[in-house]
Amino acid sequence: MPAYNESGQITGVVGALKRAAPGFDVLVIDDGSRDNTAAEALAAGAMVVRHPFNLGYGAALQTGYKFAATSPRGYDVLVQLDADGQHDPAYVQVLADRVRSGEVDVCVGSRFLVGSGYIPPFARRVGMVLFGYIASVVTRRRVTDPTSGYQALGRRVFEYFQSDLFPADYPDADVLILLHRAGFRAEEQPVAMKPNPIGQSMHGGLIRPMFYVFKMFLSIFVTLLREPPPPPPK
Amino acid sequence: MPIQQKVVVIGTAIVVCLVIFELVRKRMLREEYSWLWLLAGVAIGLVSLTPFRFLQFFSSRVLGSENPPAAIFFLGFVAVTLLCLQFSVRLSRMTEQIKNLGQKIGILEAQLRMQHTLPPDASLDEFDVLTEDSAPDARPLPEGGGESPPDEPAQS
Repeated sequence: MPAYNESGQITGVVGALKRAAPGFDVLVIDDGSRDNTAAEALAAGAMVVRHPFNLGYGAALQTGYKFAATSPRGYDVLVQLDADGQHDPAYVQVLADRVRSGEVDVCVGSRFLVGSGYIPPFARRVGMVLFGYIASVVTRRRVTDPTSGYQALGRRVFEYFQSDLFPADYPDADVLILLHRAGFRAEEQPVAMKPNPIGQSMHGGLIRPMFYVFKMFLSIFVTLLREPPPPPPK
Repeated sequence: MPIQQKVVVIGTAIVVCLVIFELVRKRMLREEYSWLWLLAGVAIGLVSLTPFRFLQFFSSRVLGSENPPAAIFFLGFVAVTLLCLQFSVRLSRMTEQIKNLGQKIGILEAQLRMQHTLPPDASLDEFDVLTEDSAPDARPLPEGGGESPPDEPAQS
């Protein structure tokens, strides 16, 4: 769980996650928070990796991949979800089981496969539809929720994502395309999500959405031009 | 080029070079970055010493411009743009390196905390925490090396 300034929320989120998925180790990556996020997560019983300064959402996710890949506990599956309570932890087991079944390498939780009642803001909805359409065309499978951070990854995938190719800001449709080009199998499963609290979205404001659209177009374009590094052997 | 202009340009080139030497001396500029700026300073001086006829010939034949000052400005603009691009490339590489270092520090800190080598509320940002006597687990190393005292088993 990447977390940035989630003091006050993180205790409840970690507690709910531990109750919903008792067989899982909980890791919070505190991305240089200026509040008590790390201490509260530790007190709630999570393992905590604390960045010395803010590195970005994607970098925090990647820290989790590196931690899991190098851990002596030899994790076979990793489930990532947001620390703001947006993602319902009841689906952790469902997503992880899909990856453990061996049928897919990545299982993405989608809030749009069935009506979950979530309606994103207009600008975000446009981005989701646009980049979901591009990802669907390139990967030749239906991508309904390219911005979803609720995902389960198999070991080969999170080992693969230790590379510097993984975006440090906001991984999105470009990562789904990278996975497809590297030969990984991905699918979506329906999950329930709550809307982001207003003003807390990393795509909020005026400049950031514009930069997001520019960055995503550029990232998808260069991902298609690049030869992806080969995935680790099975 | 009038002599007054030459003096101004050569003076500017000398000042640029002197400032760069001073920055390197004070360790505010690394040697590896200084050579490009020194080259820029020398180039400014050389342009002023180059005969105007040659500049005219070069700008008309090579760049297709009948106005040598405009051609020089254009070349200068291209050089500065390339310089900025080169710094952006280095900046990107350093950003990646800093990200990897930050991640590594965070993971090491978490591993130490899990092995109870680091107190729960401490961090590796505060480098003195592992060396100060105030750290709860800090104790002097036994004489003759870093082996554990005989009454305590070594931790894995």
